[in-house]
Amino acid sequence: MSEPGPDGGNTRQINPFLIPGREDAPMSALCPWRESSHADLYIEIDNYAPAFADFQAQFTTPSLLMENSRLALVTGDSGCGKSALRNQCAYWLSDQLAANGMRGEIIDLSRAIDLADRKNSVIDINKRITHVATTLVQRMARLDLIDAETRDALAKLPSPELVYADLGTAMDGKGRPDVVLILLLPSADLQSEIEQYATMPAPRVMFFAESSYVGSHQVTSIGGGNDVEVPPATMTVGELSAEDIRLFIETRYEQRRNDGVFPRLDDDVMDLLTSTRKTSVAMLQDTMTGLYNHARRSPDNYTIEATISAHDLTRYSLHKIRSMMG
Amino acid sequence: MTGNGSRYAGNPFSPLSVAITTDTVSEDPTIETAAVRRAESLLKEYLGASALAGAGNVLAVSGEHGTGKTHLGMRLVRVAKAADPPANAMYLDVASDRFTGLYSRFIRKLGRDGVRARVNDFYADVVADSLATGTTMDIATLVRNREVAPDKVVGGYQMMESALLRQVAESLNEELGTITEDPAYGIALTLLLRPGYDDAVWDWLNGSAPHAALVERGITNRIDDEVSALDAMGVFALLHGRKGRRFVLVIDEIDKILTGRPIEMAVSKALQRLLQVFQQAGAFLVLSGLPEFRRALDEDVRERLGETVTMPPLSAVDVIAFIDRAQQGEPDLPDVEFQPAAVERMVRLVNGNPRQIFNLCHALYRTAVEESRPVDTVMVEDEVRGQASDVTLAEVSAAVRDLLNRARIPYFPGLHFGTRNSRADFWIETGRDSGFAIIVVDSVFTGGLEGLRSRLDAVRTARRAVEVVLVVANVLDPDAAAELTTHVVDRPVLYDRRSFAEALQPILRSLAERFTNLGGTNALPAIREWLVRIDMDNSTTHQMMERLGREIDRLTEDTAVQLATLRDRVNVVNLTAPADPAEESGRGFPASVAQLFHDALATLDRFGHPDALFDRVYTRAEDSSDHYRRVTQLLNRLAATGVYEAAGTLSMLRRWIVAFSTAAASWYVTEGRDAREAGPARSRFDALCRTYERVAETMPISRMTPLFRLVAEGELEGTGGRVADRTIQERVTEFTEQFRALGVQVRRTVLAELSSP
Repeated sequence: MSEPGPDGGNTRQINPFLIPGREDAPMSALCPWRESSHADLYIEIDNYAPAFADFQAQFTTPSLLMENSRLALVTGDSGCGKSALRNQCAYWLSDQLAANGMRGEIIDLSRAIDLADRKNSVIDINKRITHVATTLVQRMARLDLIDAETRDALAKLPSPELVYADLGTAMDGKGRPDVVLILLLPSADLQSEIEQYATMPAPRVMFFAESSYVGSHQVTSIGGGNDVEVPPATMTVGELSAEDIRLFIETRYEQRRNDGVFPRLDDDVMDLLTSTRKTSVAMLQDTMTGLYNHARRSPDNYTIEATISAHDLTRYSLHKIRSMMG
Repeated sequence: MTGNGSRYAGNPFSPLSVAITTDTVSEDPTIETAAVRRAESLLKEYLGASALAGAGNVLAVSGEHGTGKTHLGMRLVRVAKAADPPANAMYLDVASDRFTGLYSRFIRKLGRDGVRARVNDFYADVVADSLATGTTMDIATLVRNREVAPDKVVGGYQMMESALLRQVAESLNEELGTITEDPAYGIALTLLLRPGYDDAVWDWLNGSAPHAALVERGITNRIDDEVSALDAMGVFALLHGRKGRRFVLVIDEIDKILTGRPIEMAVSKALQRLLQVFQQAGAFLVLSGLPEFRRALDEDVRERLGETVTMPPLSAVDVIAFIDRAQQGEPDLPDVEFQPAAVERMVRLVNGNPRQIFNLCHALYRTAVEESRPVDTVMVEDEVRGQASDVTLAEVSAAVRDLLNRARIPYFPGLHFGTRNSRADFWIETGRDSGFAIIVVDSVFTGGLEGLRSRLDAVRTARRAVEVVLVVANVLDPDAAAELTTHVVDRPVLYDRRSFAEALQPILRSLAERFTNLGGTNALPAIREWLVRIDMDNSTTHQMMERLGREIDRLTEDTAVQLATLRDRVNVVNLTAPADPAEESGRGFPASVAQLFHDALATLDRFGHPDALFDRVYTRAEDSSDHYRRVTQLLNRLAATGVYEAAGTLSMLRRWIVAFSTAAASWYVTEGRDAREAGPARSRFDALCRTYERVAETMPISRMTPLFRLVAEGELEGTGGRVADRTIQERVTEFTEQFRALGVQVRRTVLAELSSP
C-alpha cells in the first residue's frame, strides 16, 4: 500500500514521465478516446494549442458531417506528436457529435498498412486506399455497424469510392442513422493520397490523415478549385523549443506530483536538455522515461529531495549507448 | 609473383594460362614488367595519397591478346584490397557489347547490401549532425565513426526520422548533381532506408520499369539504355569514392563495347561524364582492352584518360626473372636450368606473348625434369611446335580458298611446276608467263629452312615473273622470317583465325597492283576487277553470311550426333558405375563433373533454342491472313542482322562444350586413376583444360545476343512485350561466365574427385 506523500500524494516511487495505464508502452501516443484520463495529460507545447483551437473552430457545426465528409490533416516530422493531436481532435469531435445527438464511431485504421513489418512491400496509392476501405468494412461488421450481407455486398464493389459513398445507407440499414464514422487513416507520404480522401464522396465520414512528408500548405490547395465543399482542416506540429522542453518537464512534474515521489532534474541537466537541438516530443519523452527508469535503480537516491545531476545523465547516456551497441 | 607451396602439382609454373577472374582462386603468375610496375605504382600513388578530392585517376591499359591485361587488372584489384586501409575494389570484365550489360554486372556485383551501405553513409552523417549538441554528443561521435548503425540510433532515440530522410535525399541530390539532374536517384536511394521499398528500388536499379509506388514519387525513367547505365555507374562511383574512401574499378575488355560499332554522341558524352566523375570523386578507374579501344574514343573522352600503360611483349630479361622467382618460390621442387639462349628463343618464337610463355614454362619444366636435362633451344622449339599444332594446313588452305573465291580470283590449286619440290598450293596466273603463288606451310623455324628455301626458289623460277606469298599455319620464327626476305617479297603471313582475311587481303592487293604496274600482260582488266572485288570484300558481309549459313547447316546436323555422344560418354559411364564405390574412382565419370557440362548445355538451350517459337508457328497453323502475318513477322525477325550468325556461334559453342566433355570423360575413364599424382596423365588433363580455356577465351559469345533476344521475346509471345536489353545482357553474361569458368571448374572438380578417398 502506498503511503500518503506531500500534498496528500503517496510515497510510492514513480517515473513521472510514464503514461498512467500505459507504463508498458511509454512511447505510445496519448489517446483520450481510448483512455479518457489522457485528456488531462496534454501539454501546450509547440504549436499544439493553436492547432487544436483551429480545429475546434472549424467544427462548430458537427451535424454538417451527416451530409458531407471532411478531412483533417496533421503534418509534422516523425515523433512530433501528430498522432496525439489527431487523437485529441477525434476525441473532442466525438464529444461534439454526442452533444448534438449523434454518435461518433472512432475506427483506428492507422495500422492497416504496416510497412514496419519487413515482409510487407510497398504498394501504390490505389491499392492502399482499396486496402483501407476493405479493412474498414470488416471492422464495421465486427462493430455491428453493418450486417454480414451488407459487408459482402460492399466488398464486391469495384472501387473504394463506391464503398465510401454507400456507407451511410449501409449503416441506415442496420438501424444506425445517427452514426458518423471518425476514421484514423494510415500515415501517408504523398499529397495525392490525401487529396483522394479529401475529395472522396463519403457522407457521415470524418477522415483524419497524418503525414510526415506532406506539408500542410500543399493540402490547403485542395478545395481551391472547388474540389471539395469545405477545405481540409490542417494542423502542424514540429520540433520543440527550449521553452517547450522546460514546460513539458515541469508540467509532468506538476501533473504527477500527487501520484508518488520522484527526484527533479538539477539546473545543469535542464540546461543540457534545453540546449539539445532538433528535439521532438517523442525524443524528449524517450529521454525522460529512460533517465528516470535508470535513476530508479538506486532507490535510496530516488526521493523528492534528491536531484538528477549531469553525472546521472552521463551514466544513463553511457548505459543507453552500451545497450544499443549490444 | 611466384607460387607458394606446390600449387601446380609438382610444377612451379601454373598449368593454366588464362587469368582466373574470381577472387577465390589465388593462381597469379603475373610477370612483372615495366608496364605492370608502372600501373601498380600509379595505383599505389593513388592509394597512398593523403587527400583524394579531385585526385582520381583514369588509367588506360592497352595491349594485344594475351599480353597480360587481365592478369594486371586482377592484380590491381588485389593490390587495392590489400592496401591499408583496404580499398573497395572491383574487377569487371565486359561480357556484352553494350554499357547496359556492363552496368548490369556492376550493380549486381555491388549488391543490394553494398548499395545500401553507401546510402547509410549519407544517413550516418546526417544523423550524427543532428545529434551533435546537448546530451547526445557521445552517440553522435559513434555514429560518425560508423561504430553504430544510424537506423538503430534513430529508432533508439526516437529521432525525427522523416526530417532526417529528407535531409539524406537533399544531400544525395546535391552530391549527385554533378552527374545527373534527375532527382530519381536521390529519391530511390533514400527509399532504401525505409522499410518496404527494398525490392522496388533494387528492381529499378537493376533496370526494371519503376514500381507504381516509385512512379508516384516521381521516378519514371528506366535504367535500360546506355546513357542511363553510364550515368548510374557514375552515381555509384561517386557514392563509393566520397569522403576520402578509395574506390578502384577495373573494366577489362572494354574494346568489346567500344569497337565494332559507331558510338552515339549521347553515349560518348555520358562516358565522358563518367570519367569526369571518377576524377572528381577521387576514385580510380582502369579501362583495359585491345589497342583499338582508345582509337574508338572521341577526342573529348580520350582527354579524360590519364596515363596509358601499354602492355608490351615480354623480354628475355623479364622471363628469366619470372622463371627464377617461380622456382625460388617452390624450393622443394627440383631446380631446372633454363638456358639463357633457350629463354631468348622462346621469347622470340612467341613474340613475347605472356600467355604462351606461361604455357611453355609449365611444359618445359615438366619435360626437363622427366628427361633430367636443362631447357635448351631444341626443347623450346619442339615444345613450341607441339603446342602450336592446333591449326591444320587444311584449315588454312580452306581460308585462302574462301578468300580467293569471294574475290572471284581464278586460281589453280596444288600446281606443280615440274619438280616434286615446286608445288604452289594456289597459283594465280596474271599472264602467260607470270603470276603469283601462295604456299601454305605448317611452321617455319630457322632449323628447317633448307627445304623451304629450295621450294620457294623452285616456284619463283618456274616462270618469268613470279611472286610468292608464304602463309604459315602455326609458328613463324621471326629469325627464320628475316632469313626469307630474299625469297618472298612480303613478310610471311601467320595464320590467325580472327584476322586472317584482314592480313591476306592487303598482300593480295599489293601483289595485284604490282602486276598491273609491270604491264606486259593481257590480264590487266581482269586483275583490276580483282582489286575492286578485294576492296568490296572488305566492306560487305554478304559472303560471310552465306558461309555461315552453310556452316550452320553442317553444325546443326553435327549437334544431334554430338549430343548423343555426350549422353553416351557422360551418362553411360555414370550409370554403369560399379556398385562398390571403391572401384568407382577408376571408372565412372564423376556426377559432379558431368553436372557442370549438363548445366552449361542447359543454359545454352534455355537461352538460345528457338524451338518453342518455331513449334508454335506450326501448332497454331491455320489458313488465315493473321497466321501468315505472324509467320512473316517471325521470318522478318529471323532475317534481322545477326540472328543467323548468332545461331552459328551457338552451334559452335555447343560443339566445343560437347567436345570438351567427351575428351574429359574419355581421359577420366582411361587415365583418371593414374592422375592422382603429378605425372603424364595429369599433364594430359591439364592440356585438355588449357585447350578449352583458349577456346573459351576467343569465342565471340556476345554475338549470340540477337538469338538470345529472339528466344526471350518468344517466351513473351502473345503478350506483345519487348524484352529489356538488361534481361538479354544478363543472359549473355550468365552464359559467358558459365562458359568461361567451365575449364577451371572441371579441372578443380576432377582433381577434387581424384584426391577424395
